[in-house]
Amino acid sequence: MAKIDAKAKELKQALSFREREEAERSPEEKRSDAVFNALLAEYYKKAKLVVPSIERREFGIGYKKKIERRHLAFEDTYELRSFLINETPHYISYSIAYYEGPSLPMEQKGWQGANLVFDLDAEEGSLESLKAVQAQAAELLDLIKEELGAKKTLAVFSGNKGFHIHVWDEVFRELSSNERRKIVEYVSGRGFDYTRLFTKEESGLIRGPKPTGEGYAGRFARRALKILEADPRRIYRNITKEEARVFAEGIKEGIWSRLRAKKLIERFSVIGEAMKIHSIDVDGAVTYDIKRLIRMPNSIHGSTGFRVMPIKNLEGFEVEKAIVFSDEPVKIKMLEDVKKVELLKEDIEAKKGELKRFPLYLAVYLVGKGKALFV
Amino acid sequence: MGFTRVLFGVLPKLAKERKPNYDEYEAAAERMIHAIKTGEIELPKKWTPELEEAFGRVFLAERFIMARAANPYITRRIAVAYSKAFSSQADDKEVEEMAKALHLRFRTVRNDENESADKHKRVHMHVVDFLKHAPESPDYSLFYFSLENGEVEMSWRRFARIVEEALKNLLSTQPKSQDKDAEDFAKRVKESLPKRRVRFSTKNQGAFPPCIKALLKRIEQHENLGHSARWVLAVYLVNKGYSVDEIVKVYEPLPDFKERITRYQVEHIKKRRYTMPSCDKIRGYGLCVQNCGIKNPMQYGRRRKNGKDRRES
Repeated sequence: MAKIDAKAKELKQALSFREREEAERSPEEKRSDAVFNALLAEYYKKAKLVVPSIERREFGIGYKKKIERRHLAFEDTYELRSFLINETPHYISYSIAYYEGPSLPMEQKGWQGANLVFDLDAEEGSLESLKAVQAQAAELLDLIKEELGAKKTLAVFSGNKGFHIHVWDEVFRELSSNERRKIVEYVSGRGFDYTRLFTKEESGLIRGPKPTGEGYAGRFARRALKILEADPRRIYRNITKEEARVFAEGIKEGIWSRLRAKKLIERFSVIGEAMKIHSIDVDGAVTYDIKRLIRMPNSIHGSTGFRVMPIKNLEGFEVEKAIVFSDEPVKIKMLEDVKKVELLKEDIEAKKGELKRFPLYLAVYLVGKGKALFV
Repeated sequence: MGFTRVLFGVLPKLAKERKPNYDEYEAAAERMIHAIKTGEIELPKKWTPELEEAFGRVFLAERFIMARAANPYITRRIAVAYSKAFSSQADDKEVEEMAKALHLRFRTVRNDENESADKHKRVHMHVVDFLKHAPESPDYSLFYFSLENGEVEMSWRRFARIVEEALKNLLSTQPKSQDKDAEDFAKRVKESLPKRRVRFSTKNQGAFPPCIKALLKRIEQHENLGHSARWVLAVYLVNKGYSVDEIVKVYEPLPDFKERITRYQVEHIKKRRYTMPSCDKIRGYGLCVQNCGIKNPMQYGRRRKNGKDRRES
C-alpha cells in the first residue's frame, strides 16, 4: 500500500505542470479538451498495450508537445493502463534504452543497452510523400533482416508523418552511439563511394558487382538491372532497348563495360543515388541517441488521433487503417479555414468560426491539429 | 600462443593469488618506460609454461602501476605496443585463439577460388563485433564488404587486423585494482613521459568544425586514431596555415606517436598541397559527427561568420 501511495505522489508531482497549463486555457478550450480526453480514456480502456520489458523502460508524456515530462516508470501494463485512462496524455513515448532504475535522474538510471530504432520521416500532411517513405521503410526493413540479420523487428506507423522500425534482438542492444551511426550510414547509403566497387582493366573492361552478390555491392547491381529495365535512359540518355539488354546481360556476369558511352563509371552515380534512403533520420537523434524516447506502439498520436500502429505488411499499409475513432457525426467549431485533409483523402469546406458536423475520426484529426475545437 | 594464455589463463589466476613483489615491479617499470619511449614491446619468440608464468607476473605488475598512475596515455600507449607486438608474431592459429579468447563471434571458411596458400581462408564475423573493433578507415567501411544475415565476410589479413584492434581495445581499459607498493614505480614511469604540450586554446578551436574538434579531443584523450583520421586533421591544419612544427606537436599524445614519422607525413601533405576532402568524404571515413549544412569543413568558419553578419544586418 505504501508503495502505491509513493507512486501516486510521484505521479502527482510529475503532473503538476499540467494543472499550470490548464489554468491558461479558455473555458471553450477546456470543454474541448475534456471531450478529447474522454475519447482517449475510452480508447485506452481496451487498447492492446505491449511493451517488452516495461519495468526497465523510462516513459515520457506530453499534451502540447511530444515530451513535456519524462522519467516516468511503470511496473506492468496494468499500471500503465490505469495511468493512461486517468491522465490521458496526448503523446506517450518510451525509452529505447533499458535501465536499472528508469525513473531515476539520467545519471543514476544505469543504462543496460538499447534497442536499435530507425526513424523515417515524410513531409507533414503529404500523402504522396508518406507513400514514398513507406516504400523506403519496406526496403529498409528487408535490408535490416537480410543483411544485418535482425530477427525481432517491428515496423510502426508513427501516427502522423512517418514510420519507425524497432529492432529488439539482444545482440544489437550493446551498440554504442558511434556504432549505431555507422549502421545508419550503411543503411541510408551516406558516404558510400560507389566507384570503389569497380576496377577498370587496361583493355577497357570494367569489372563490378554481380547481382547475386551479397551486401551493398549485390544490391547495387540489382538496382542497376531494375533501372535498366524500367528507365535505362537515367543511366545513358541515348541508350537503345537492345543496348540496354546487352549491358544488363554483362552486369549479370559482373562485366560493366558492355555499353559504348563516355565516362561510363561516372554514369553509375545515378544508381548510387537511387539507393540512398533519404527519409531516414541521418542527423540521427533517434538512432544515435541511445537514451531517446520513441512513440509507444498502439498509443494515440494526439496531433491526428491516429493509432501509432504496428504494421505486419508494410506494402499493404493505408493510413485509414490507423483510424481508431468511429464515423459518427460530431459538432466542432473551426479555428481556421480548412479545404482538404490530404492524409484522409477528404475534401471539406470549412471556414474559420463555423460550426461543422464531421465524422468523429475527422473531427479528432482537426482538433488534434489545432484547427478546431469540440463543442 | 603464449600471450593469449598469459592474458586469459595465467593472469586471472595470479591476480587472485598475490600482489607483485619488488623485482616484478622493477622489471615492469623498465618495460613500461621502454615502451613509452619507443612505442615498442618485445614478446618472447618461444613460450614455455615457465616463461608464461614469469611474463604474467611482470604483466600483472604493469597493470598495478597503470592503475596507480591513472594516466590514460600510459595505458593506451602500452596497449598499442602489446597489440602490435602480438600481431607481428602470431601465426594464424594464435590469431584465432586470441579471437576466441576475446569472445569475437566468427567462423572461418575455405576459399577454394583462390589457390595461393596464404589466402586460403576467409572469415565471417558478426557485424556487431565488426562495428566495435574494425579500424577506423575507409578500407573497413561496411559498404565494401559482403554482409549477409549479420555476418561480414573478409580476408584473413583483415580479420587479423581486427583481432589486433580488439586486443588493443581490451588492454586500453584502465585497470582499477590498487596496490600502494606500486606508487613509487608509477611516479618513475610518469617522469619518463614526454614533456610538452602545445594545445590549441579553446578560443582557437572555436573556428574549427565539429569533426576537427572531435579529432583533437580524441587525441587529447590518447585515443589511437586511424590513418584517415590523422590524415584529415593534418590536411585541415596545413590548409589553415599552421606550421609543420605546430602540427607535429598536436599528435604527441597519440599512443603510438613517433615524431620522425609524423613529421615526414605532415611535410608530405604540405608538399603535395592536398586539398581538404569534402564533408561527404569525411562522412565516408566515419568522422562526421554533426550535420553543419556545409559541403567542406574548410567552409565552416566562413559560413558561421557570414551567418552572423546576416543576422546582424
